[in-house]
Amino acid sequence: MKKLIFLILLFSSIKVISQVNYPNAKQDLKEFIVIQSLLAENRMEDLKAFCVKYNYVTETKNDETIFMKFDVDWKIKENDIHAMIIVKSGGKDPVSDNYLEIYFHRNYNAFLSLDECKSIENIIQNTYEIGTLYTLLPNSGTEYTGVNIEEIDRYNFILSPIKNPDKKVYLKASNFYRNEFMSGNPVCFAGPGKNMGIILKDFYDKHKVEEKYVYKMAILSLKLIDAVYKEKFNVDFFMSLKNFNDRIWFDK
Amino acid sequence: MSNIIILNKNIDNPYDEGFPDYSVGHIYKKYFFTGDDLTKTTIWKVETEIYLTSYGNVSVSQINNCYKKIKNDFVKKLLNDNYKIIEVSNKLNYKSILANYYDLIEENLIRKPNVNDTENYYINQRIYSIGEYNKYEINNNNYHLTFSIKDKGMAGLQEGINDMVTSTNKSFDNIRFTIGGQDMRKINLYDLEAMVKFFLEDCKKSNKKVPELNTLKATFEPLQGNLIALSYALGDDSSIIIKVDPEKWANASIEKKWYVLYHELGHDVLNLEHGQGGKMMFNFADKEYSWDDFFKDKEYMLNFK
Repeated sequence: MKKLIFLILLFSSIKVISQVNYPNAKQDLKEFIVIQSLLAENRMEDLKAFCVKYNYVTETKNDETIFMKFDVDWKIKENDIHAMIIVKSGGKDPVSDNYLEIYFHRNYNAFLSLDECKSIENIIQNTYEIGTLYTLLPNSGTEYTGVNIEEIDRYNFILSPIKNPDKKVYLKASNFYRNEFMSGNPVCFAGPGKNMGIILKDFYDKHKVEEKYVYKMAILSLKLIDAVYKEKFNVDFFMSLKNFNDRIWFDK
Repeated sequence: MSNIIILNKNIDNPYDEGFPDYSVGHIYKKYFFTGDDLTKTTIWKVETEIYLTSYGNVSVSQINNCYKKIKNDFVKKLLNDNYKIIEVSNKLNYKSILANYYDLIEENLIRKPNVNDTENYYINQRIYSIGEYNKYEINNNNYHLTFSIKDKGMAGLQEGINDMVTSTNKSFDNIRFTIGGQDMRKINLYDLEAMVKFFLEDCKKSNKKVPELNTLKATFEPLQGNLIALSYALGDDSSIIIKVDPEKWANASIEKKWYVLYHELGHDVLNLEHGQGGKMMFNFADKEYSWDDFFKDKEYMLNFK
């Protein structure tokens, strides 16, 4: 028994060593969405102002533009995760030309173990709730047949098949949803601005030699036809929201 | 980031303290500080500029004596505060608060020794500067004195921030000049088709519908009058036909070349007439354009409904 307790303690302590902290995950994700949206709307001056306000430093290396958040308050600890954003150009339809490639790493140590990559992925995913795109809810024009629909409120529904009423399906509106029509079913953010949505794709890149990984994410905007007629992304309003679903953007 | 505030005081009271009686002039003070909240701010530089006018009641020698006393008091106060002069240098052509150019400013690096540090390490470094302007000029009755004190460490930090701003501008330029992975500054300006293709990418980026093309003909051919380029396919969505005068093209700046080409493609691809699509679609290429003109005017044109 003592041996078992010892082993449990040993493994739990190993887990603690490989744990990663990413206290700014939610704020960072919000900022990635703003940066991508401003790029997609080609609003360079607004992007510049945003970078100044939110303490991003920028650099050009090998024709690529890199954004990094400057830790003005020296809050980031040695093992905290922070992000390096590379602005890319060359996105093809249906995504906009500019997109972001984001590398997540610790101070002083760029490489991560696979577990650490998964931890970062989990932390980021826990900052938002995946649900149903508002336009797919029964009250926004989408027709459902063969089911009973119970409306809890404007954003929550219970569907029960008529033939099998016990097999209930809950639909909850969220700006984050899995896009079943795209390969890999990436998570998309149905947000404000002149786009059809923002795609979040994450990858683990394995280092060539060692058993080390780099965790990175691509953030792309889906182009919108007739974008000129749509309202532009309101940065201040978006940044003032506490949670991603405080406003369901497709509920006009 | 650094902010500034400028204070101005008129010297017009017959007995303004510290100045000759009946002096006429101004004192300007410029405070450089970090942050936006004045109550929590760190002032890292204070610059003062005084000017007095000589006239019947106030002679030049009175002004010179007054300035001499101010300078002495200023330096004395600093050195009484345990600072020691470490290095003296001169700065030429110094621009003051009032945008006067002082020929020569004496700059002094001063340090306050840290008494707790045995290795003679100095923790507090400041730079003070003093200079006078128009002292010896004839036909000018205004006599200027400037002096300033700045925190060397903070000044260095501000220089770092300025470098960062330069780097930021370069980075944003890199983004705005690059479309479809291609930096427009690197496109050969004598490869007209490559330039046209870049324009088409720009249209796609701005969600403009780009038609399927049967003909893309962009050639150098002499044109009459002042014309640099001319489009021939307005209203024909399947064709782009542009002729460019080789001599005028060779003499045009890179910014103007792109501006003119975008104008012609505004006709050919976007089917815009003069008077539609803003300044870029004006009848004449009426001036030398800057990149800022180009980006501002093309944004308007590409977003024209």
